[in-house]
Amino acid sequence: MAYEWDWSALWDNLAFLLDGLSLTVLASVVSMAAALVLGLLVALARLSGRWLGAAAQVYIELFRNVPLLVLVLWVFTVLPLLGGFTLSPLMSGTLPLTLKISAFLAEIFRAGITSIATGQTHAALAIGMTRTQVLKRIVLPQAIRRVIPALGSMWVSLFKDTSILSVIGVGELMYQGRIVATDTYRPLEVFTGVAVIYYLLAYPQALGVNWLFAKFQVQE
Amino acid sequence: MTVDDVLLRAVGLHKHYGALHVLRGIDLTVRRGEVVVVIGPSGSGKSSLLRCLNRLEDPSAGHIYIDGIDIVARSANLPLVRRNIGMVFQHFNLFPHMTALGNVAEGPRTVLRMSRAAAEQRALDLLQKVGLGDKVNVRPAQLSGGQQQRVAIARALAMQPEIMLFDEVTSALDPELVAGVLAVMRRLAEEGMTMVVVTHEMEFARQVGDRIVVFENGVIIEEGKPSEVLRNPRHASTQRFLRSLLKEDRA
Amino acid sequence: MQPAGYNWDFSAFFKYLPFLLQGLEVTLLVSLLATCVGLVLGLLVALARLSGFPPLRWVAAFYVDFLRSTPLLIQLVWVFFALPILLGYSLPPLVAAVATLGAYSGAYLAEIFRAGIVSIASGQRHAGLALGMTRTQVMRRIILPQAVVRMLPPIASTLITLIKDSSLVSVISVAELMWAAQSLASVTLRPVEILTGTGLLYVAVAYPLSLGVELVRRRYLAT
Repeated sequence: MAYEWDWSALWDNLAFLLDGLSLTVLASVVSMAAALVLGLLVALARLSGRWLGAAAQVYIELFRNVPLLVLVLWVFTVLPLLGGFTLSPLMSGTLPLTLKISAFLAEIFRAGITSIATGQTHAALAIGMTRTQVLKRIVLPQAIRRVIPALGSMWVSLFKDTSILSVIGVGELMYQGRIVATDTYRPLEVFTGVAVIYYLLAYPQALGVNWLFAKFQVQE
Repeated sequence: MTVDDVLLRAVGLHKHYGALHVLRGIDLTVRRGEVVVVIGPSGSGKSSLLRCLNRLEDPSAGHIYIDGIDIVARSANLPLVRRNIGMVFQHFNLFPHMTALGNVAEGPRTVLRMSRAAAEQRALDLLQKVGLGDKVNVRPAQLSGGQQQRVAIARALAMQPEIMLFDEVTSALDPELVAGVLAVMRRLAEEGMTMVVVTHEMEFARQVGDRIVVFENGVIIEEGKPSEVLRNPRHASTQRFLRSLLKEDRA
Repeated sequence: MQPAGYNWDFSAFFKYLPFLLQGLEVTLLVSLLATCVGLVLGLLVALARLSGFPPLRWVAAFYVDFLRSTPLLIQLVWVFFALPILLGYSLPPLVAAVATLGAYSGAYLAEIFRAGIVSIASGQRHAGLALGMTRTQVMRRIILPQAVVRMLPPIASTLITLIKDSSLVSVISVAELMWAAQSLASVTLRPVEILTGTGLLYVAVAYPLSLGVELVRRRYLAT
């Protein structure tokens, strides 16, 4: 007996699913914004003195090598027990995302900064700039421009990672999808639909990142 | 020569790169208005010397007195010291994200805290002086090597230094562009700028240099007036080195 | 409301460490199997993308784009809950996990292969053809040997990422490390130590591996 597709399960609940999408976007935007700041700070720390650099390295390796799922569950279940406070699911979700992405961004920023030819740093120092001025006026403006494509890649990655928040009950797209699938007993149609929604959103963004890579090609 | 005439004095300079002993006890005196030309084979330590003079690199031992102040001392305020020393690099090292005007005005604006208008006016004057008045809004990528180097000279001059250091500034240029840069340097010398020039350009050394210093293996093997050193070098190594340069010219 | 300070007690973690390590074994097994699937799939797809047959190129491109644009979680859930409906029979969790992770990593590996092959300067391809080699011979004797060496670091990185991503298959009840940790946490009622320890276990596996890759890359592949 051939399977009888019934797409009404998807269409009737589309609005509910798209509600989840707004949380997906919200979590992505908030995490990315915080991670950009945090990541830059950690990158600068990494490039500075010995102790600060080592601490930054520990931070980077820790949050790059712990799976996101572990991090999410840890923040959700463990942090309240340690600190005695409770976080909303959204906060518990945004924090691990921020930590993870900031570690990757720190590496990206660090690579970008060190890629600025040392000759320019010498020239800037030679006219009497302090190290901070060199960073602010010469190195960072170019480094940030150079890493924009990599930042774009991380954004797309982050966008997909928000799906993991579904396991702690954050009502983003994946979570909404599971609810609808369970309610309608139509996991095939619903999950296919959810996958397609992700694809329709993430693929154009990935194309945008490709465009960024082409546009910001380094001319040395 | 009075003590007041001396602008720069390096005493007992040593520099190690790991096991490599690159500067082995250099003593160098530069008087105000003097043009000192440093010649010698590659790897003899000339560039390291220059980079120590503005402390882009730290000497392993020795002292450098500029206007009487020891800049090797731990207490030296490096950004402040470097304002007074101009450096021009072999590979120009212009800031690619700024125009020529931006490059030259950057020092006055950010380091000397001049107003934007004043900094840009100074930059404009200097660019005109080096013959690039029509290229002020052009980015380095669109300039020839010789033009970039002249912008680099203007950028260093914008800080109004008392002494200018030139690190093989024409070595990376196509031959036809070298003359333009040397002309700018000659004019600077005629205006009385104190200069330390590392170069292979012997004609320039002969015509513009007040004193030649010959480097080999981290030591100064010969020193004197261009006419003496270049015509009648006393040291066998100097003779060999000069002969090798001549061969290059002919080829 | 502020507790005096949490009383850390790792004894539960250490007592049941063997149980966790069994989960780790499954994690590594799943990751390795999936990587094998991914390598084969990725190579085939890469060659398809580079082929001269347009429909093959489009299908391959769509495969890569779709699997890289959708979260791994939805893919796992789809293969485990939705695909059986189409197939008419359910899939064992392990099979579903390896298949999904294999297809997922295959999409990334396909791009790595494609980039690696393309990166070998076309001049060498021309030289091979000029000698009278067939396209296959050029690929086999000239392009692939060089490309393979160049691609080893990104391939190793993909494996390491897969080890971390495999934590998601706990969601479809594969008894790997994450699943073991969650079971243990609810049984011992010590989620703090269990989850912290599990996180550190993952780091203890992934970090040395990535260090190793970096070392090898620097030593053997410094261009």
